[in-house]
Amino acid sequence: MSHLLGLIGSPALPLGTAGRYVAAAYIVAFVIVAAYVAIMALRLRRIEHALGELAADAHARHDGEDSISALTGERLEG
Amino acid sequence: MDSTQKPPARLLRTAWLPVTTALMIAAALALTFFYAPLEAQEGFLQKIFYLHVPLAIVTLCGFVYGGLLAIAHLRTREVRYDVRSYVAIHMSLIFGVCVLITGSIWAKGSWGHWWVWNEPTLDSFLIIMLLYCTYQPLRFAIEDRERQARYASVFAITAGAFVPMAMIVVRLAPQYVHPRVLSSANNLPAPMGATFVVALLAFSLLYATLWRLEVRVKLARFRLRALQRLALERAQAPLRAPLASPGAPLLVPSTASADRSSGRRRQLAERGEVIVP
Amino acid sequence: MSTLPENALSAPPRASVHQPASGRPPGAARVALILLGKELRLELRTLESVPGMALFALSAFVIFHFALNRAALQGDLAAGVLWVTILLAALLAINRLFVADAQQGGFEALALAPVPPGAILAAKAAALLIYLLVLELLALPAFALLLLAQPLAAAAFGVLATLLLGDIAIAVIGTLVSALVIRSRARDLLGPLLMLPLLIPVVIGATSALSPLLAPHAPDLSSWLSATGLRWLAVLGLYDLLFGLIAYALFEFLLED
Repeated sequence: MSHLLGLIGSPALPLGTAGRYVAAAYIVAFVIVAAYVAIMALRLRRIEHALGELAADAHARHDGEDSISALTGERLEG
Repeated sequence: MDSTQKPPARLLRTAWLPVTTALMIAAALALTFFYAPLEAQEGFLQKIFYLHVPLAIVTLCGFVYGGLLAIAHLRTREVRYDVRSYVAIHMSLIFGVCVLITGSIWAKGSWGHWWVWNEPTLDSFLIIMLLYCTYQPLRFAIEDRERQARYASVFAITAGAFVPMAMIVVRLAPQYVHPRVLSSANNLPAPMGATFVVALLAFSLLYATLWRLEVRVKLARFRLRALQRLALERAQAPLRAPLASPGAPLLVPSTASADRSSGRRRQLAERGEVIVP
Repeated sequence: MSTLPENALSAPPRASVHQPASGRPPGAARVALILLGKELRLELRTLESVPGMALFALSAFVIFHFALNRAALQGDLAAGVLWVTILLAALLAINRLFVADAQQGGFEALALAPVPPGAILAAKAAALLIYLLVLELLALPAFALLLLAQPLAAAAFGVLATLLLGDIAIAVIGTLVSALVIRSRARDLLGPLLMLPLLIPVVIGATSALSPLLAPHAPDLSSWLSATGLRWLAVLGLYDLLFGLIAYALFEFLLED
């Protein structure tokens, strides 16, 4: 079995401890970039959420003057 | 401009860069582990070279690019150049952390220590990172938005010019008289050189993709804040002069702290489930 | 301190009192000289920078003596101790270089007068350079007396040339960085944090040039120059020149408000 694996990955089989260091280096770089992308995605979601609220407010304005003016009063008091 | 284009065209415009990046990184990884031959002295450990060195080159170019964008900002005074310069340096800082960590791992594997002082490129890289670590603290310690951008640009240009100077001076230092064994991209055998070039291209594309993503996120946030300010002003206007501006749009602001709970209450109010005073 | 606004505003007319009131503004070099005179007069009256720097350098030598547990230093170690001391002492002056201008209206006064930014840069950098030279005038004999293993006189020229070129770099970079951080909240912290990486090449150059001069068998001038001295003096000079150009190009953007 190990012989077979050796044939498949032949030119670049992890050799001893070197494999651990190489794996660590690649994983660290990948994790940092992934964390960055995750943070960016989170920010994007927050922006979309806030945009959605703005859009909802804009639409609500067309629905009825009463509830909206009451609403603005409430919001500005709070 | 984007909104007038048809969806497929828009998708093509925004998606080609990430897709190419993903393909190139896959290709670089494949070449690194299945094509490039094992190096005679280092063996498998030398695979870090195809990660560490391209990342370092991209990082330094990103710092210089941030300086060039800062020149454009000081010349034109356009905010977008400042945003681009900021994002270029921010991305380079993140890549730079990767470079220091992967370099450290390589040093541990190769020489048995997490840090060695016999590699001038790594040492000058550390100095450059130390300088750029002060970019964000400096920037965000200046209150005024316009002044912040201007001072950050001055820093970015100075530091961008410092990058090559530091590399050269550190290399001249007397402790590096020994010939360098590693991380030299010259006189590589052809398969290794090809792998290196592909990896360099892949990480440059990764940098470009992430740079574009963050620039877009930042610009979207600017627009959002402007809209929120506008909404706040319009929402307050009817209270101050209800008769003077009957047609003022009643956009309700969703800034700051009140958002989530009151947003929920508003939805309920609209459905008549809660009576708002 | 509190005399600055009056000082800053009244200095130019007082200095140019001999000139006929032609209405033509003085040239940039003359303005720089007038501003330098203002800086030095201010320092002479308040004695805020140089005595503190000198005392700091003396304390640092004593600290190095005890921390390294050596009675006498030579070579690399001597060059390193001398440069670290000068660098940290310089930070004291750099931290307060623009404080009076920012807090007491000096910037506003300069904005009202037709003063080119280059003249302000030159005046401030020259003032800082003079502080550093005075500091070294006091600290170098103290260093030779307290810590150095052999007499300094033999290597005097090389040491002075290195110090001068290094001081110019500190003065130029210090002026730029000091103006860069003066409007920020944490300037006392940010100034040194920005300065130190920018000055690491200067430290490399200056200590590399100095260490053979402070070694037990110091080479004479010509052999020092041909061995490493000339190369490091050239590196320091180029560094001065490049940062001088950068500071000159960018300084106006720091004075706009």
